[in-house]
Amino acid sequence: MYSSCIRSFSLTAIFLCGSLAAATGPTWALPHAQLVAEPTLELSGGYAQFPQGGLAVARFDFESPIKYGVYGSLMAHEWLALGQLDERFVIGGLRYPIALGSKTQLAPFVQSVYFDGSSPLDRRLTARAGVALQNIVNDWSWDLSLPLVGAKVFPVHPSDSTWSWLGPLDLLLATEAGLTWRGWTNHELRVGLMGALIRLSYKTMVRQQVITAQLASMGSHSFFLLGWEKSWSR
Amino acid sequence: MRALVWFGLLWLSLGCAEPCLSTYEHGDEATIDLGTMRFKRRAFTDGICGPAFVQVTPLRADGAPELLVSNFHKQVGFSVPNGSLRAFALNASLSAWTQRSIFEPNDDIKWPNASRTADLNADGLDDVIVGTGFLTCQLVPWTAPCGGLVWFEQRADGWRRHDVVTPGLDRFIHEGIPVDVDQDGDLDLVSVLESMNTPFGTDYAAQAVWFEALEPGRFASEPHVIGEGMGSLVETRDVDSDGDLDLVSAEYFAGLDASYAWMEQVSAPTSDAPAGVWKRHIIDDTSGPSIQLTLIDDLYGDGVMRGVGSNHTNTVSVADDEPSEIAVYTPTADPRQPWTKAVISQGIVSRPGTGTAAPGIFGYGDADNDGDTDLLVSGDGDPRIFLFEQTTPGEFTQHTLEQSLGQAGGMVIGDLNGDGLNELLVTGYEDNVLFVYSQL
Repeated sequence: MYSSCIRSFSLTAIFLCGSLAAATGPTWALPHAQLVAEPTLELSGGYAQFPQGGLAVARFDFESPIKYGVYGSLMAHEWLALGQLDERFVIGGLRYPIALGSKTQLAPFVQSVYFDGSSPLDRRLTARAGVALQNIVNDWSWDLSLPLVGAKVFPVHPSDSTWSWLGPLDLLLATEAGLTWRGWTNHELRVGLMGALIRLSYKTMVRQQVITAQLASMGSHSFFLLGWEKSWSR
Repeated sequence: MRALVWFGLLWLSLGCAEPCLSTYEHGDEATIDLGTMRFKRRAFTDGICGPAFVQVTPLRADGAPELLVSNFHKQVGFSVPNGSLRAFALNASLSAWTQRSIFEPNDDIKWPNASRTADLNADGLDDVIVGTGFLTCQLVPWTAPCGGLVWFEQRADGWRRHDVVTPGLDRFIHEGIPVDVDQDGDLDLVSVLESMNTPFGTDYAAQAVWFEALEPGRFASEPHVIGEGMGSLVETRDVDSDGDLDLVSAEYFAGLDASYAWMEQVSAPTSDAPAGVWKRHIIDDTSGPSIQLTLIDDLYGDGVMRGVGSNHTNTVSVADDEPSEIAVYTPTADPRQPWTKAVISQGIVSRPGTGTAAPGIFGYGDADNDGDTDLLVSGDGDPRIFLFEQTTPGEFTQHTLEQSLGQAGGMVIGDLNGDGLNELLVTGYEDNVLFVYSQL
């Protein structure tokens, strides 16, 4: 089973490397505290290895300043196994970065996540509010996105579509934190945690194009994505 | 543009999950020697995906037995998969089967547990009752709790679904036992609503209830509460021989510190006490959390009804868990007092890990066709399958039928092809396979 997955993955990785080479934020899903000067789009695709086999993964991430110091983000993550699975997350976020001195940013945020699974019991809308922090020292920066409160609802549940609070574990599993290094020109490397997954992400410039790569794993579940990023000056 | 199309096709090709792939080929045969017994094992994999419970029942009008197999299916992505219930009819030589569907994943029923059959609507045709849901739906944050109780009406043109409890309840239900609790002539449904302690805010609970049939096949939406306690595989028996039905069960999720218990029906339902009056009695509270207790008439051939209990513990990962074991319980003169226990198993040990425990469910019957009652036991967290051969009355020899078939279910001993000899039936959740063993 896995040999066919690995073969398909290798072909696609070669194809992507042949055609591609970060200004979106450091996090996977939660809003962050990093300033993004201009509208930025990141498109990425790749492969996930879950216990029952391989999934195709695609990610859309658009972030932009809006007005009055507020930044917005819209993301979509698609997870697909033909004939077996078609699930997606649609994520919207608003954040308001505040400078705490010259090196530290704090950003209160709100976020909504809609998970669209295979049946009415698998459609979950989540709202979270929290704070994000980023601190930059020379070539290094660390970031933390911490949801503090949240609620969920299964909006098309057959008998119970009321909101309920997210428990501490639910909030903790969404938390992201990381350490980024920018020691070489045009290279950026981050190692972080997103819930129970360790995530390694990398950005670089290839022929004036920003190329991203990320690898995340918790042992039983792993994924790898290659992407392309584009920013638009105002 | 062409590059984009190729990119899309290549990307799509990455999704290559095969959750129903079996480690066996459909039709695989093997010979298994167990002491003086020899079995031919046939593997069936078509239509099997994460199988669990099996019931052998003459559901069709011609009276031929069918295997009703609950398939949990396998989690591919983030949400708990929808399950299926399929009926399989074996040919006389047990070499092939035909299948028909009662429901499929697109019917949005998660974790279909044990099925029961009865003519609920009094139309002359047996219907199928299924409890749904498990702690998986409490643990996977992207799926809502999925407990439910549904029944499928057998009609000339197929199956028609009726929800007693529409799947989505925050407690899970393993069975709906058809029994006329209020003695009004129609079949009510007895269930146990259970919950697991999880870090997402749910807690241990087990509550025995019955859903009253207002008329044949039409059930009240709110159940009558029998009481706290009982477990997933509750059974109805007249434990105290007073002429009414009681409940008897292992307890795992109840959180009441008992291993096995029974619920005495003190008085039948009345207008003043519409649920009836029930009283819980402990059979054993020393064996840890347990998965099944089945009362077997004449187990030793001496006319005495005894209980066989399977606890569900993990001595590897939980330091103070009780030993994993199969035990026979003999009622004392007053069955309201704890029963006499005799352990008949040796060396059952669960694999390490949270959420895994041993042994699992079992079935009983004359496995070696020698006239007495044997036991077919799933190791569950212990990946072995055991056959307890009764050699002399009350004495069992423990055989290992399979060395590696983790999280096995089925455990049926019965005559599948009407030749007068019993077969054994075992399902392997992890291996996506159903085995039929016939004695050579």
